[in-house]
Amino acid sequence: MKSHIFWPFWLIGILVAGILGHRVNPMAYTGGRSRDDEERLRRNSSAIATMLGEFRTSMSDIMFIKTERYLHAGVGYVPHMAESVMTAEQLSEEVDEHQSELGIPDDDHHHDHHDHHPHDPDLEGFELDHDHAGTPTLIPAAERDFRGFIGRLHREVKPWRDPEKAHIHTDGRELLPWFRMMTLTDPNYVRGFVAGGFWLQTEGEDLAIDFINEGLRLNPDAFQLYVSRGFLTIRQYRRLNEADEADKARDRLQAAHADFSRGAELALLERPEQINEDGTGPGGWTTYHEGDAMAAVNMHVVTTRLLGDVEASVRLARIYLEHFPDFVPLQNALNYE
Amino acid sequence: MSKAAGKASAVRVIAKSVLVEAVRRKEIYVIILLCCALIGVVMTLDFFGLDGLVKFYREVALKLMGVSTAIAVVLLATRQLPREFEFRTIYPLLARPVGRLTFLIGKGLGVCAAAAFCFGLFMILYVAGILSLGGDLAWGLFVQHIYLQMLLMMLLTSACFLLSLLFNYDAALVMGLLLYSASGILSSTSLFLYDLTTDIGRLLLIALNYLLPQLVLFDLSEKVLHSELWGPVSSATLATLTVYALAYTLVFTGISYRLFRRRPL
Repeated sequence: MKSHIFWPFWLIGILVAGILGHRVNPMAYTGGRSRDDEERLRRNSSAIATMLGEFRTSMSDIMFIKTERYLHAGVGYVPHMAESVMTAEQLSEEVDEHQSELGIPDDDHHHDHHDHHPHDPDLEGFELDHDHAGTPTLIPAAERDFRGFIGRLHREVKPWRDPEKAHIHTDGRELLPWFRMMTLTDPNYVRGFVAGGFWLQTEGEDLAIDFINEGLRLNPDAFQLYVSRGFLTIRQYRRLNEADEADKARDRLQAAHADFSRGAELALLERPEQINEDGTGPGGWTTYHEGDAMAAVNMHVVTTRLLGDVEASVRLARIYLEHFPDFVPLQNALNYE
Repeated sequence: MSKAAGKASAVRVIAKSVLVEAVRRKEIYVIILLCCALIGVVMTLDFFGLDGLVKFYREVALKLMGVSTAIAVVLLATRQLPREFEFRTIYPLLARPVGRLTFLIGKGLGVCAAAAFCFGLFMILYVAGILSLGGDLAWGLFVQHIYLQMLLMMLLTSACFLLSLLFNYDAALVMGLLLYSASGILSSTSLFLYDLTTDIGRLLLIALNYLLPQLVLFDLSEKVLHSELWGPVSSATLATLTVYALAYTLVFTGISYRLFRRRPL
């Protein structure tokens, strides 16, 4: 059969692909992270949907690991960005470190463990993180590598650094495409929106808030996103407050208060009744969820007080202490009574 | 003409015929076009309206280009000998004063030349893409990456020749693709398993470590990607890698030659 007979099929294929491609909407996907059993059952009724869903969530997890690799200039460490440092509050601090390195004035954090002026001239312009020194590398150090000269070559050709040394941190800017891709791949990847939003603030808080808003449109019940937007708005409030722009600052404070309020409400709805000592709980509740839930209730109390309603803030602290009886900031909030 | 010059001439003619065939069959162009289409899509992606984000492009482009060239090499290399037998084109060739080793070397060099042609085109496109996106290129590392990739293609070619003499074409093709794609996974898995396994298991892992070529050693793309921090590798490392690749190539070619020589025509 002559090959030119196939040309019409090729053309039809290209046309159909074009039409289908135009109709593809990655955001239409309803993902696999809901803890709602009924919702999960409905989703799992379609095998293909399940397979695609799992594939997409796996892809987004892989991309998240990729951002960690980029942050460390390609050095592969055993994943150590534990869930606790993936909370909105911890991420906010992590980004502060980088902003300070980039010459952007920091708010009020002191970072004794980060060396922004390393003595090694090769590392000029990079931040060194001493906190995670000792985390094993994926390519092991010579004393732990059985491969002899092959191991040595492997450490030479790949980005590798002695695991006992401080971690190199690069400018987080090049991480941003991966956050875009992971949230396109899996629009329900809340962690991607939270982390991406915080890294994006180095390019402008409005850009970051737009990204979080996109996450909220797709995940309206994700309390972490309200907490995340609340922290971003609080930064704007602080800056405006320092610039003596009282009206605008109060507007931002009210917006942050609304976010923390909604975040706390949703967090308490989602939080399981039984929580383990390490902050984990049934239904996939992680220390990352617990950390964000605590940040939400604490910041709700703090912003209520900053808005001038001390009585209400104490009342809120009492209510939240029933859920988090050992949470010191809430206990301290009672002192304002 | 001396005997050596005659052999060199024969090698050149056979290699040229492989290269010409590879270019004429248009497979390389299809692979390049598909790869370029994918990279083109990546280049059009908008990341929050920000400029100068080149690492994502670098990573996707280098990975796709490396993988595409390797696929082209495996396709070409595994096909060479089975096709000669299938279409009986080997008989007139070997009827001339062309030894089987000369024939194998000529075929191997032809596949390597096709790989260089394919990868060369890719690298031109890569550099053009980087420059159009306003990114920098660390030339030292970049040239080393190209060199190591060529060593990888040479090693892969010899391995595929051996596979095509051990198995039929389909099986050799699959095994060649598996060897390429699973090499990195095997390497990281062996590191993980070593601490968990028994003494016998450890011996097995050590043996595997030296028996199988570690293709992951010929990939400098991660350093090229993060070249703001990493400089070129030392010349001693490059020399060791060259010897490493040549050693495996010689062993694979030697075994292939033995098998080829025993093969009845």
